Amino acid sequence: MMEGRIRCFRRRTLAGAGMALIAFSWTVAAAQEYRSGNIVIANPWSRATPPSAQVGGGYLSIVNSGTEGDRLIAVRSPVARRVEVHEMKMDGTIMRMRAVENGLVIPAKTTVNLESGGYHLMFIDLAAGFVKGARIPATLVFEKAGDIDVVLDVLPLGAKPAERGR
Amino acid sequence: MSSRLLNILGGLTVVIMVSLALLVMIYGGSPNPSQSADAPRYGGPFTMVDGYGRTVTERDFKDRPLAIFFGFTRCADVCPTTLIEMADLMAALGADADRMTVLFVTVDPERDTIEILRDYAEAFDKRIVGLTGTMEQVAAMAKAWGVYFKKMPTTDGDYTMDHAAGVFLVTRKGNLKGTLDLHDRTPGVNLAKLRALVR
Repeated sequence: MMEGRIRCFRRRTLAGAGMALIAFSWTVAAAQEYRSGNIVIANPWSRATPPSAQVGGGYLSIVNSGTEGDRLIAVRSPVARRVEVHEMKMDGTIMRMRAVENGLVIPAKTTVNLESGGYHLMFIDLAAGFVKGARIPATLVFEKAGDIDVVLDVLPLGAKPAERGR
Repeated sequence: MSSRLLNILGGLTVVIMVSLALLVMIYGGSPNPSQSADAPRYGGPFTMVDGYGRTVTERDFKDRPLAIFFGFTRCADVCPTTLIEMADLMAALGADADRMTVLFVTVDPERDTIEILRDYAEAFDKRIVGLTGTMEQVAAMAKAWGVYFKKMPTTDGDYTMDHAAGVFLVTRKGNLKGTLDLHDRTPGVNLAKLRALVR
């Protein structure tokens, strides 16, 4: 079965950018979107957490269709003591994780993806672990667009970025 | 005559460079996998505690190939994705994965208790062994592997850990064979390295 998955992955990789584009459009179209003003939040998701985990991640896309930049200045959720926007940076082989200070800038006419290996939401001190199939409420606070309530779909523990929206 | 010699030399240079590039591709980047006598030695003896409270040393894994990586559980993105990749590789290896041991060593022993680390590691694959210990034990093991880690304060008295990523592959004889880069999405590269390790 695993062999099948590996082969499938290879085929997908070889299929090229066209297929990726189709898959991406499908993913975005199929996923839930949340809007306020010029900001659209697309496809928010998380993954199930291991039994003892005190933190969870969150991924989504922020689309700014306006002609002015905006900033994501805070994130709140009833399921965590605190939610931060984090950025992972590799410094040679050293991995450094930092909270984004002074808000995450979303330039005009730009999509900023919070995805594995870059920016992501970090839910800190969870009231309870994230369970597959659960829906996690969160409020994203933008400087101009104001509050946007979203719901993150919890995918299985082993979910990878390519599988979001499935 | 001399131009012919130059051609041959040029050809040889290309062959050597391509071979070197291939070696780097196969065995990964730093640290140098060819552990010759005068090269710095990676790894060595350690004393840690496993997820069941047992004291373990390198002798407990004698004659088994090892994949060793460092991380911590209070990490929302990279640590889970690293463990997911590792678990997927183990599933792809099939029964061969039973012939090796995967060690997930915490760099945050203050918060990663024995139980937390066990529950965390085993959620991805039951065969992944979480190792913790006293700060001194963890620091000694990290030092032996040349793994940098540092506690970085965040807000509300909280902190995160900066640490070296990468997976060390160790042969049955305890020698470093190479590393895995789990961010390398090239299909089959990491699996081929693990297959070569357990062969």
